[in-house]
Amino acid sequence: MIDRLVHWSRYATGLAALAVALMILHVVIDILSRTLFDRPLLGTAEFVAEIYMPFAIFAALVGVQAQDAQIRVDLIDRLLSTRARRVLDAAIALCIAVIGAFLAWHTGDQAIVAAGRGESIDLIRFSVPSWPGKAIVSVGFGLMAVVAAAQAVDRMHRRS
Amino acid sequence: MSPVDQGGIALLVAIVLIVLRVPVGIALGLVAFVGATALLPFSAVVSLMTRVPYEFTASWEFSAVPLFLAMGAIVFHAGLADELFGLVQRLVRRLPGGLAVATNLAGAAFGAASGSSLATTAAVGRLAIPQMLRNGYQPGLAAGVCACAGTLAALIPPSIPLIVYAILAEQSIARLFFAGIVPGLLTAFAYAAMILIRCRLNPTLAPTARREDLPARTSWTVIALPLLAVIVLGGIYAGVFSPGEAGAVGAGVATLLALLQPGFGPRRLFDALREAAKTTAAILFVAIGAFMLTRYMALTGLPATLADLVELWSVSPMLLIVGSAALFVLLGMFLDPFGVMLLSVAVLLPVFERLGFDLVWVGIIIVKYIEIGLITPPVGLNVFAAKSVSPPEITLPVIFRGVAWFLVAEAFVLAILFAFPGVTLWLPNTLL
Repeated sequence: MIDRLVHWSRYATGLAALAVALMILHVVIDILSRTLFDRPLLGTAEFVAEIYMPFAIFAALVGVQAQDAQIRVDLIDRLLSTRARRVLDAAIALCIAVIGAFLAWHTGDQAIVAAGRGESIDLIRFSVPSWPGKAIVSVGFGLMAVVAAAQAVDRMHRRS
Repeated sequence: MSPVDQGGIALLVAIVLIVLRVPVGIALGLVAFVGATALLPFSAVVSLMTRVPYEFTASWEFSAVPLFLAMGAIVFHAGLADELFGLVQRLVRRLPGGLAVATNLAGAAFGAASGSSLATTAAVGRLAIPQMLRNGYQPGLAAGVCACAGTLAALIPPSIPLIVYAILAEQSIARLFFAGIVPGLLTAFAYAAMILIRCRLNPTLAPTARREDLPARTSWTVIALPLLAVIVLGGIYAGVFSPGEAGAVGAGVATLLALLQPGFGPRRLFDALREAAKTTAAILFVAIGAFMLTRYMALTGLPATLADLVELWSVSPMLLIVGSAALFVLLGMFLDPFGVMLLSVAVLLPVFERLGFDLVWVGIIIVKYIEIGLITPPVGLNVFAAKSVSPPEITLPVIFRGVAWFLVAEAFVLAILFAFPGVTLWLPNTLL
């Protein structure tokens, strides 16, 4: 199951990579347009902040969790027995799953409220909606929680 | 128990959780959340803390992190830095410890494309360690110079730690970028001088490299890194784009150059962007936890109390910053350097601010401290990175012993930075 989750998490990371690619393209076009033609693109900073950044970070979060790439300190690794390490790893994964689910629930609530109100940053000619960025925060935490829960089960199972 | 006491206990709990291998971001955020529930109603804490992930990261300023990480990842995936490294090796081949000096200079040059110490160590080490070992270099020197050369990337712009510090400490990213240049180059020269002296005194450490062992080819790619550095820093200096936008321009130019390389296509470009996104998520996840902790610390009043105490005891500012080195070394033994920096920003920055320090200078000193933490045991992440690209017979103690000499050079550089703040501040004050 873990292998399948790692595989599926690649699609989410791909979405994050796409957000980074679009961010690069959007900002470069804005700079070229304002430097060469004195016509800046309207709303570049808003698109970057509201759309690209949340997608670049939170869509990638599940891949970080799936590959155990969260920043952590492996100081006591060598002091623990294999079994103690598995129990500790399972407990930590469970803790991440609970926290991820809690954050997914509450940030999801905020995203639903934002979508219901049609929250957006209004510019002169158009507006940048803020709910997709808020929604991906919740989805990102939710997927992280699912993967962490699967990791916890996997580690407990391996112990027995 | 007073809120200040609670804050102190919360910090200790955070450190214990991190030592127990809880991810740093989770440990900091959890402690902040639970701590805040003792001071505010639960619903208020939920509202205060769960808004942080979106509000903190949906930010124009933070876009510099993925953009510069993308630039570095594209440069490394396309091998755009490899031939410049070969050229430097040929130029300094006859110097005592020539290949080690070249590796060190390559670390500084790679730092101009990458903002990450670990990525730079791995990239430099992958190329340099096998070559140095083939030429009979002492293993500790060969792997040690790669571990240390990587730390230069955190000072030489663009630098991810400096971007994150600038945002949390509300300082100008551009000023911090320019402030990092002279200390970064000074460190590279101090390393080079130390290698030259050691290898002149003991030539068996590093025999002169055979010309046929070095790459002979030189193509246009040798100008890729200097070109990126000139475009990024020149554009910021000329005011054509902001430091954050410079990341997009750098990544765009790196993409164009990479696509000219044989074998580099859309698939590898996408792999590089995927890697940049994942590293961004891992770094900013810690930063989210740290920001929650900063909010909680402000609620407890601990930083303000510390600042009051320092004033009351009339601690001299210089003693405080030198003394804080001991705290960083101590925390660096248990925490990852990024966690150390973010914790220190949450707790110590108000103290430094109250004492009238230039926070740009403080930022450079803090990054210097955490970079030293990257090469000192037991948690020396750069040493681990060097180990990961070394042959199995080079053990961690061998690399740590090799690194010890570089710490002597670091002490020398720190003494200069303490004694002459102008070394750090001259460039940003002159240019910006």
